[in-house]
Amino acid sequence: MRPPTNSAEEQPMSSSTILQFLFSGLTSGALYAFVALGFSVTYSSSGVVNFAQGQFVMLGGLVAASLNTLFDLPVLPSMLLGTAAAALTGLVVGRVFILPILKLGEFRLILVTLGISLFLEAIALLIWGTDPWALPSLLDLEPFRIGGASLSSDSVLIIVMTFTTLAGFTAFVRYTRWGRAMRATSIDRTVASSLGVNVPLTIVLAFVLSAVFGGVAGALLTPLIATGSQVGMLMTLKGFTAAVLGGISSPMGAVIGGFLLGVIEAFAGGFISSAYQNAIGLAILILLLMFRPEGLFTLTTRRA
Amino acid sequence: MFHFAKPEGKRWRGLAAIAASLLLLARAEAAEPILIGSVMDLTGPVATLGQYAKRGADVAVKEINAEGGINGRPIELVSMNSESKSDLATSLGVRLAARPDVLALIGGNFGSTQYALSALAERQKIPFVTPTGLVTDEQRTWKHCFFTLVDFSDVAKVMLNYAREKGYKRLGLMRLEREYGELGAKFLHQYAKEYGVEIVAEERGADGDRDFTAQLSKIRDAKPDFLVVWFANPGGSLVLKNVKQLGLTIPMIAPVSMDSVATVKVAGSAAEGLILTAQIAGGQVLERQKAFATGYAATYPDTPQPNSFEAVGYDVVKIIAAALKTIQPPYSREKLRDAIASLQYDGAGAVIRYSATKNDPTQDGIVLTQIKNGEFVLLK
Amino acid sequence: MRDLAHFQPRWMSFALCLVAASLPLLISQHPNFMNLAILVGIYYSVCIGLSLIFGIGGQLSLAQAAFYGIGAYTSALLSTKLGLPVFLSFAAAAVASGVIGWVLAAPILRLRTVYLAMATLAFGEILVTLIRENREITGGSTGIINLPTPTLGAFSFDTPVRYYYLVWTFALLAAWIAHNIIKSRVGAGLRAISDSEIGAASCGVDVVRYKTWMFVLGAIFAGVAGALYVHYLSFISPDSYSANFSILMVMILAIGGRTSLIGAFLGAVIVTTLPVALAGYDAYSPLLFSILFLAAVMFLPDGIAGAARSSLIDTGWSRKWRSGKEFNQ
Repeated sequence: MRPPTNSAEEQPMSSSTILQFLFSGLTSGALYAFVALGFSVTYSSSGVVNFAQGQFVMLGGLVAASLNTLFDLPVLPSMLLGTAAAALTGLVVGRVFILPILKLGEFRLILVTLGISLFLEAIALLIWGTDPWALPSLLDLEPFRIGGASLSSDSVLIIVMTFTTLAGFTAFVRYTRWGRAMRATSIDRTVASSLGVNVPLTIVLAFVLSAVFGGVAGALLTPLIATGSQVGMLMTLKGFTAAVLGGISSPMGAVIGGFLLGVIEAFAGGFISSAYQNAIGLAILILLLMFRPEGLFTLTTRRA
Repeated sequence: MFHFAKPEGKRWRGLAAIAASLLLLARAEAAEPILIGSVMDLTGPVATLGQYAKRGADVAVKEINAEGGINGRPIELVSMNSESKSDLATSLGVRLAARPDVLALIGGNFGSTQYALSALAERQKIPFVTPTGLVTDEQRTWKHCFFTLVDFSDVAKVMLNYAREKGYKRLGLMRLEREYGELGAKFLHQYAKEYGVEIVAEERGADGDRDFTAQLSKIRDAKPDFLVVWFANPGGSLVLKNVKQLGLTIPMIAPVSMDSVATVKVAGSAAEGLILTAQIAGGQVLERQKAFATGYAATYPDTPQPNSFEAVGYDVVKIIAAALKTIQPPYSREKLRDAIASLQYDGAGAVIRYSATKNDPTQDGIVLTQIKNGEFVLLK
Repeated sequence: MRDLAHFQPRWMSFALCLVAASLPLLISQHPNFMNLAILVGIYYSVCIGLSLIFGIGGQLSLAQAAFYGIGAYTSALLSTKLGLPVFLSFAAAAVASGVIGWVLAAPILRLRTVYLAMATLAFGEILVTLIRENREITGGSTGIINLPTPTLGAFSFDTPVRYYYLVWTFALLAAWIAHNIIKSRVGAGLRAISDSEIGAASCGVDVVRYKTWMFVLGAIFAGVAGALYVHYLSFISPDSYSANFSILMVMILAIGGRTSLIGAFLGAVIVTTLPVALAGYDAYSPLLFSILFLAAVMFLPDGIAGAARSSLIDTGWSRKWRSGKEFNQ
């Protein structure tokens, strides 16, 4: 239902407003892209849909914000430590919970990550409470005004970081030994193993990496919108949607899926109705899956 | 480690035994507590509200028991967590109402859990005092439910009145797209003309959204001179940040949902100057709120300033206690309900004048506050 | 590694029915136990559907919440706005969820695992949004109260004991239907599909038809369960129909064991009673729940039913059953 705007005159949509939608979409999109990238990495290498992905985002943000607020640590070290905390959690999750369960199949793995996400969320609530935690901006700059629309420095930062991370990860996969090992594992675990790849280690590495992605996103996000112990589940859902949209087995697809979802939501919210914005994104996803059941950019169809 | 002189010999042991048994006897004779069932949303999406209300309630229990309880009997909360789920709330409500020694229920921290618990309370005929407000007009006719947050229609009138006093004629509205925001919008639209105000733009956003610049741009395009941010945290604080980001400098007012330290934490300097239709000014309490504020500061020395949710959490217990004081034991749910239904009480968060036709607090309970230097003080 | 042995001897089914029938005699004086028993029956019914689709058929559908909601709202709206008798509304709920399930099945069931999960999840979320946004029709986020109690002529199901029997009659009926399906050729076909669709198709299993039937049946069970649920509470709100509910159903199968109906039952009991039991721990309740859930998932790969079954097999008991016709396979 169209919200009642000024009933007397229907204002024509100014181009600056449209640009604002785009900026807003790119900002959320960058966030979704990070989470989706994390999903893609773990799914590719281990076949696990990591329900706890959103909690890595939460942890990165909460640790960074609390270090800054409680101990007056400057913003950059706080963010780095937040990411490290997320990475550590990823390590523990991968090594202690995922590796032993790998042989039990996809379903069990999903459930384990679900349990872990519930656990992390519950613990976070107890440690950090229900109130949100905030971080000051990393770069203390005035928002950029472009064509009448404004874009904060934090937004620019997270958008730039998304592409940098994607580029870095792609290079990692293509040119380093570990990266190639991850790629081999994602194509076929058994063959990779027979070629001498240390599959368990690769999988743990995948979890650590996706935790790092999530943690970075969380840390960068917090100056923009603050984190709380509740954000995990929503991030997981959005990131998962974005990953499926773009094709969960492709990192580039995941990132593009993220931006696409963000922009679709922003425009749907702006032009149609903010109430239906989530639903529209999801509806487009379902439609897409009807015609391209593997997402937009899936490179290979693999059997998990 | 510590060396205490050991009591010597059997004599001491004998005395100790007698003392112990006397103590045990005393405990057995100690007054049976009065039980109040508490079903609050302590985790989940509205955990913030549930925990605030619980904190307030705990302060009230402490205060009442320190004064000797009700007729020598201490008050005890049987506390349960409904996890922001209305079906769990119903199950827990059934469980508590099934205990004959539970005299009343408190809880329900947002629309659906409150609604579910109210309906249950009506069915089971147990008095229910909630630290929230009405969600439907029909609830006004219910006999067992009592509210402590001022109804939205009154809140809207207070906001519009303020606008009229200040000469603001063009109102922009940024609101939550869910029920909470819908109700606010409904009443603002309903009374706007009466107060000479025109709503020139209305945009909606969701709790989970991170960016409202798109909607706020549209509002800005309509050139309002006054902005109502009918939101809850954390969305509301993000709205404030976006408002600042867009360079919109008109005065802003928000309902009680924004009255918490989260607003200042998240919005930072963007929250300066925000006016609220709160029910307590944490930094400048009124006379009737002093007892609460003192007890609160003593119980929570790290956060000496309470917010409206904590205040009404305190009130729900105090309302029951005040009503109990007007009746004679043995207490029953019906007697308690009748007593509450005619209670006059000036609380910390609410001013209560319940009657057969009124089960929500009076408009006098609204305290206009403003955020100045990160603190919530009285407006003007 | 999925254990497809469907160890559910007939005595177990009889025992279950007997316990279900006589339980109220024991607990009718305890409203909170009656409340839980009714909820267990409702969740079990939803889970039976999921057990067919997922436990046997291997398709991870997260759409149960959506059908639960469709059934609930169909019944609630028809009975309050149109004054339809409640049992008729229940029937309408079954029809609505069945039809929507059938329409949805064709496009959705083509999708693979992860994508199927996402699509069904998305469907549920869209539905909840539609409910929330159309307040005039659906009561929006606040919901609708005072839903009528089901009546058969002059007999009204207005006490917990009566409602208990209503719910459990349905639940056991659903279980009986599911049980017979599992035992039949269709069940074997489903298990073949979950192992390998191509393999099953090459054996002459009509993959599409089987998957669709199970999906629709699961939808119907969930829809009626949803209707039963809201008329019990006399209250409906969109809270219960989000993704969390579907995930809860999956949890039930995870804890209980997804290849047997007894497993679904045990899981339903645990998942229903645990939060209520833990609620007294205030803010610690979700933490405790998550720890228990994780432990169950990590250490009981086939759920409780699976663990019980393995231990029975380890002892000498199972040999007796294996020889007789009691062994339902």
